[in-house]
Amino acid sequence: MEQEKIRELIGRYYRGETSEEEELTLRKYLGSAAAPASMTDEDGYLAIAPERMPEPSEDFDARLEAVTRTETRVTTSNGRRRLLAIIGTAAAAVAGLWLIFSQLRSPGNGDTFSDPDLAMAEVKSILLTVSENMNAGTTQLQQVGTITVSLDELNGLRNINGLVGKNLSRLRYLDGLKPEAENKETK
Amino acid sequence: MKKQVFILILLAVLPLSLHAQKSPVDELFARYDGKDGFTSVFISSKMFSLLSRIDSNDEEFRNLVTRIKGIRILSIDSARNSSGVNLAAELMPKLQHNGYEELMTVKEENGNVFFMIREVGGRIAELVMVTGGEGSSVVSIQGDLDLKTIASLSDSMGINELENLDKVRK
Repeated sequence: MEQEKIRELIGRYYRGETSEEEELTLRKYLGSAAAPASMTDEDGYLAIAPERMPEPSEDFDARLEAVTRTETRVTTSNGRRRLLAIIGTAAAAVAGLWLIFSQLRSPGNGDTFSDPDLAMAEVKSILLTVSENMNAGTTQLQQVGTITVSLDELNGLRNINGLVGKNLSRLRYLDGLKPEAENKETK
Repeated sequence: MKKQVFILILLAVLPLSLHAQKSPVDELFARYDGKDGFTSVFISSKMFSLLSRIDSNDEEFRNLVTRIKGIRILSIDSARNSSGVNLAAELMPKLQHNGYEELMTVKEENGNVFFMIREVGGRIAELVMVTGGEGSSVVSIQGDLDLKTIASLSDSMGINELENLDKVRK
């Protein structure tokens, strides 16, 4: 019967429902020889558990402060990184905007002429200047073109020469026939 | 945290990459536009779209204009060029290192005239004429360019055309 009460107390002890008096009773029982082995094996340590919570050591406060300071330092470091990231992002955004605006302000985006007729006249003038300069450079090439024409003409002459040679070879064939005809005439 | 750093780097690099896309010609115009002793002219693609609507008897010229997207000119007033800037000397080395190819060089008494082109997809996207000498100048023509048509302009546009241009200017 007593064992049943003790088991109930142990259950309540683990649930944190026991009073100080009940805990004292529990420790006394588990520490006595009356306690069965099955009970002391599992919960016997309760008998030697201190009755009151131990007082913190002398350096406890110092250790706690040291741990707290480290944590604060970590927090500050994270905060700095975040701050740097924000500043960096803002700086990059400002630099990007500045470059985009400078790109928009860069020459080539605004017209010198608002009147299309004037612009047309200027375009003609520019293109004519470019054209003249290009032709100044290619004039010499036209002479090379003349040489090419001459070469073509020479090729034509070569063809004529070939035809003449062909015809001459035919004439030679006729020459080969001549002696036989002369022979016949002599006969 | 790594993600934040990556985004930060991306944000920082993106504008720089946009800035890096500027061609040497853009940089030159940005540097000297509006400065004392320099004259610049800009004709935008918007203006060219207006020009293509103008009636012109010269069909060849009209076709050429419809293919041009923009023209820029920068020239030095030789009388006021106290700084000794030579646009050709400044621009030419940069052009050669930025994908521009030399088309032609005309050697003249006043100074050399360089023709540089930039090709995109096998087509001429930009023609840059750089004039050296005292009154050096840079002409940049952008668009889908046909060099034969540009070269033939001086034949098709005679002295009468030039006289008309002078009247318009007055």
